[in-house]
Amino acid sequence: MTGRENDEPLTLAAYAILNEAGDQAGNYHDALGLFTHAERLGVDGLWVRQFHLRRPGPGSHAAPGGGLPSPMVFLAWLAARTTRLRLGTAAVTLPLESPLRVAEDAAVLDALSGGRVELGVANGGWAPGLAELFRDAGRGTDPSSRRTDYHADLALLANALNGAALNESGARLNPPGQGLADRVWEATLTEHSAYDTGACGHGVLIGTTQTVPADVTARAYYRGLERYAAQTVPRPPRVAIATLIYPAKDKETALREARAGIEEKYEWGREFLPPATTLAGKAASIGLHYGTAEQITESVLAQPWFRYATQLMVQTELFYASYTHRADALELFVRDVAPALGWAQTAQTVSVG
Amino acid sequence: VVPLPLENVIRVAENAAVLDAISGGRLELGVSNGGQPQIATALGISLDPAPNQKKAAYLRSLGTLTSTLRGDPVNGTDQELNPPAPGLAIRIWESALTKQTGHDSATRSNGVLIGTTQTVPAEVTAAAYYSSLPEDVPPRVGLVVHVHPSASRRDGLAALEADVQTVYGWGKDWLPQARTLEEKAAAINVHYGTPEQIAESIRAFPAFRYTTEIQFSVGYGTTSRKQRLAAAEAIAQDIAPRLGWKPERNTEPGEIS
Repeated sequence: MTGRENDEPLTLAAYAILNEAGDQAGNYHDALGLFTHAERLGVDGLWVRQFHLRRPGPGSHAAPGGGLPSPMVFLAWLAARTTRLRLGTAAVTLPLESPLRVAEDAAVLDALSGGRVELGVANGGWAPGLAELFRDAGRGTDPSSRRTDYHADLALLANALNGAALNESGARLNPPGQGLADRVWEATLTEHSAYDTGACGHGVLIGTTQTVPADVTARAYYRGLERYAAQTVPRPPRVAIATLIYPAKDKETALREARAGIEEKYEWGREFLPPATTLAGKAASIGLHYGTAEQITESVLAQPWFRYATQLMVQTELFYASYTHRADALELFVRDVAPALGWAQTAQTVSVG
Repeated sequence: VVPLPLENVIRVAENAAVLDAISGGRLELGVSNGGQPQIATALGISLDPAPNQKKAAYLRSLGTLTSTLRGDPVNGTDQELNPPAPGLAIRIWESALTKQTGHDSATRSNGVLIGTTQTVPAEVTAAAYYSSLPEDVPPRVGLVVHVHPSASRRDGLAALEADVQTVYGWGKDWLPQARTLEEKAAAINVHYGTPEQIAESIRAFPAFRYTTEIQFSVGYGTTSRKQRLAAAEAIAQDIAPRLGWKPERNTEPGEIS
């Protein structure tokens, strides 16, 4: 037994932030290839992040030179070429979008994919000047009015997905959002927002580099979900947690190969990450699980957040020399780590060779 | 087309750029100054009811879209479009319903999409487009053509009757005057009969001589997917070649399933 807090089956997703500089079309196709491979391996789903625009120049961890601004277009490709993978956005920055356009795009993708969309949204996009480019100026800029606006947007999105009338003439979302309202997730960074997410009955997406520890966020989510159950009907928890991995023949080799990526990521987040001085300390601080399959298993099991997770979002980025390398790492995780964590493959897999 | 007044143009540029990147540069980006007021209301957008104001807003949006696709800084910020899509700026098409919009699209070096239900005849829009196109810019004129292959003109017209009456009835206030079913079908650019008859009918359509691309539609008069596929096959094999089109690559008959 792995001592999980919930009775939900543990599921497995591939996760990509996809913000590397360089040939973007090439990056997208490499990632699409990795995800179709993930389906063949038996992975249950995938999540991609959304990044808008970029600064001219080579890019850095703080100001990435690349990214995917239109996750739904990307996922539409996968909808056509996969049959089983859940297709997730992690997450659409709602304050930069028209909530109804998000509902429309999600509904079309859901129709095309046979109901496979997992719609993750987030209250973000606060880089200076960004909001004005995408939404009407004049919205509040302090955290409290941002939160109010975000909840108004979420309500609009839910209304549309639930088939409510959207104007005086009674226009409704088309195609209808068939169950999509029950597949909304929110990416959260704080205890407060995780509680709200639970209280809305949504799923929660938790990164590992958070301002508060992931287990604190997860517990707040469960409290919110209890409140939701008390007011409406109980809903199973949906807690997806980013799991950054780097397999190698031993821990020392992993640290040596991943050094540059660890240092860069730690520098980027040193203001809010747990302080560390050694390379191993920094690797732990950024939430990296590395070494052999056994060592990665042990590392994930030791995380205070693990017992709350219903899904692991496996990330193979930052440290990898090639997509073949990433595919190998994912395969190792699926075959040798996930089963030891309690994951039971639900899908028939095609032999990979 | 994407009706720009209902969209954030930076999001349109992003979606277009990602689709273009994933498809290996195959996107043709058609836009319009469309958008019904009730839909705008539902989307939380206020459209200016004054046509000249709405047009001015469309032109600002189109300008931003074009410069963003070219890779210029977005709206005076230090940000640029990602993924880059410089080739897309010269693959913009505008839906043009009037002589003026045909002229305007040409001055912007964009393509035009001329439809079947125009406020002026399609050839007037197309001629205006040609007369204003800069000399070094190849023309791009897309013409929508509705096609219904059938054993005879009479059979075709019978199958088309319900759709023709509906569409003509919807646009009767501004479509060319027509009384008989045949006249109404002609007024909305529907072509029917044997492949020879359809090809002849399209060639006789005054806007055809300006057309660089025909956009076939097989929706009218068909009721099943199978029928539509058969119509598409008839177009590719028997109709389009009669209009001067050569397939880039020969496909085996029956490859469509």
